[in-house]
Amino acid sequence: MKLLVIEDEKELSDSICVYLNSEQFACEAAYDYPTALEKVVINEYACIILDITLPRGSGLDILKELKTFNKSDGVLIISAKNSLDDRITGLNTGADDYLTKPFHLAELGARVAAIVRRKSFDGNTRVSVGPLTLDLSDRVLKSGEQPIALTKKEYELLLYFLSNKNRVVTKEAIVEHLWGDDIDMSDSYDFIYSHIKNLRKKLMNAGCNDYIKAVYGMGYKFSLD
Amino acid sequence: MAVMVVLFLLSGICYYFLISYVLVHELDEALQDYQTRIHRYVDLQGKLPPVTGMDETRVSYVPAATSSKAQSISTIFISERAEKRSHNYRQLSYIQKVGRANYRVTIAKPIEGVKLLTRTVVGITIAMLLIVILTTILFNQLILRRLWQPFYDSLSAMKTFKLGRKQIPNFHPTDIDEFTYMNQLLEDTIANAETDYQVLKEFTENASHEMQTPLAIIRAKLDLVIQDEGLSEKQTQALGSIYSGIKRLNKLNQSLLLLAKIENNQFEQTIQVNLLESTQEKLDQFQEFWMNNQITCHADLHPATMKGNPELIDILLNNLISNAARHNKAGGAIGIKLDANELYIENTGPLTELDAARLFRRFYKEQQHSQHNGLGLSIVKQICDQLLISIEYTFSGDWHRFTLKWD
Repeated sequence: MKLLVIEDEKELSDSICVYLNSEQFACEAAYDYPTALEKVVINEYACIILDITLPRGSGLDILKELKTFNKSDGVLIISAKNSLDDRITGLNTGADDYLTKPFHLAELGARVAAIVRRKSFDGNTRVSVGPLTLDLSDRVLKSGEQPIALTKKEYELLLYFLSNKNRVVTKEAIVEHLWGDDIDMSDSYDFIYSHIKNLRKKLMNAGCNDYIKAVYGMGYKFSLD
Repeated sequence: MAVMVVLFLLSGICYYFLISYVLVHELDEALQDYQTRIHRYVDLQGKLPPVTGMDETRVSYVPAATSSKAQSISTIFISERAEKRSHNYRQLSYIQKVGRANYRVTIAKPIEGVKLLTRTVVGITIAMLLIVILTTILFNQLILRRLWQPFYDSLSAMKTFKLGRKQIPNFHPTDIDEFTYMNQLLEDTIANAETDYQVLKEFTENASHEMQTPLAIIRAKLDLVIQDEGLSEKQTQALGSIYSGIKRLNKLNQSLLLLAKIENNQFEQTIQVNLLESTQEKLDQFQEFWMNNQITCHADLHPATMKGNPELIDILLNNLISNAARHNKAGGAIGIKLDANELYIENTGPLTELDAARLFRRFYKEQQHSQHNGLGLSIVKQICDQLLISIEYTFSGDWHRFTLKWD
């Protein structure tokens, strides 16, 4: 599946591409409005990561073009402007999600994965987690047909890890994803440890390997091997 | 005014005496005239003129022994039988030689007429003067009021002016050059101040916006760096510090942007917010964090609503409640009470009272090395001002309490 990053800051664009490139996704980049428009019209993308302020044009116009060409590519807006109005305008013009700069790449990964899943399978999808399957429409983890009880946070945590497979994810990014960024209690994120511990225990009890590895001082890495 | 009255009285009195002096002098001249006429009559006829009673002038001749040149003029008092009244007279008496004989001639004219005239003249004059002065004062007042009306209009227009509202007061046009000039000057000054203020505000907003992209690049690069397997412990520690530095910078940026947006009235949409619900929601959200820090919370919530922007109210509650935990001590407590028109949030914490005067200022911190940017409470204050909520800080026992009241 192909992704397109439309972002005029080359450095940022490169980082996004490096992070998102995987067996599943191939990432392309466009740095200005005309190039972006050309690519969008010719190709089909699983998800377009779109900056609003572009040289020689506005990202919102690309959204409108997509609409006129009747394209159903998923669109994730990344913008420096975090105002409700911009968000509403973007979403009303046809974007699927909105992310404010600066963001964690892991958060971007999770959002992109969510959009791709929604677009490709209409949200009706099952993801395999080793011997287990995660049913996204029912939001349950199953071992065969046997459901494994997960709390809401554990479910979200697992999905977040799955969207950022084989990547180191910081505790900070996890806290922001699960609790929102207006909750900043302290500079220690140790309280997420209990959630991770419980999830790991449940996965291992269901016969999985230890998928979640702690990366010292940084965060966690989830890999299915 | 008093000076004017005294002056007026003094000049009235002077005026009276002056007129009366002039008239008496006139009378004296008339008497001397009479004397000259008698003199001429005696010279021509050789005898004294006959006394006629028809005139108001009283003349009498009395034979005198001495012949002296002395003559005297005086004011005398003669009672008159016929009218049963007494009159003041001006009398000239002198010795007139007729042939060999000497007569004392006394000529008298009544002053009464003069007095009446004087009084009338003075009376009329004073009355006229009074009328003139009073009407002048009255007209002055009227004209002054009319004249200064544009000035007072401008003053009251200025009263409604507040910097940052983008409203230039409406000065009524006037046909008085000076006031037109003043209004023009006021308008220009206000417009300038307003522009400067806008520029300043936009600067904060733009600076914050511009900072977001570099921040995004740094964070994205960091996210890539940590994917590296061969990081040493030292490098990991350094990266951790960089992450938390960026987080603080980002938080600061967002707070500044939020303040700018509130000032720009970008949260216009208002609805009736169910405070009980939103407070309860916030408490549930924070519960997990508090349990982790052994902070207990006692909430006494009653149904309450508030009209305002839901986003702002959410930020308000969030800042106050997270502050209560952030500035708490280990094993401390938080108390929250919500009533129909009042909400207080109190917490244990440092044993010294906070500086209430500086508490809501931007970048105010109790401890300089604090990890927090000191904008939380100024955002709270700004939101309270926007939503017409009064906020008060009190410290009693070892409880720090913030009380919100609204209508």
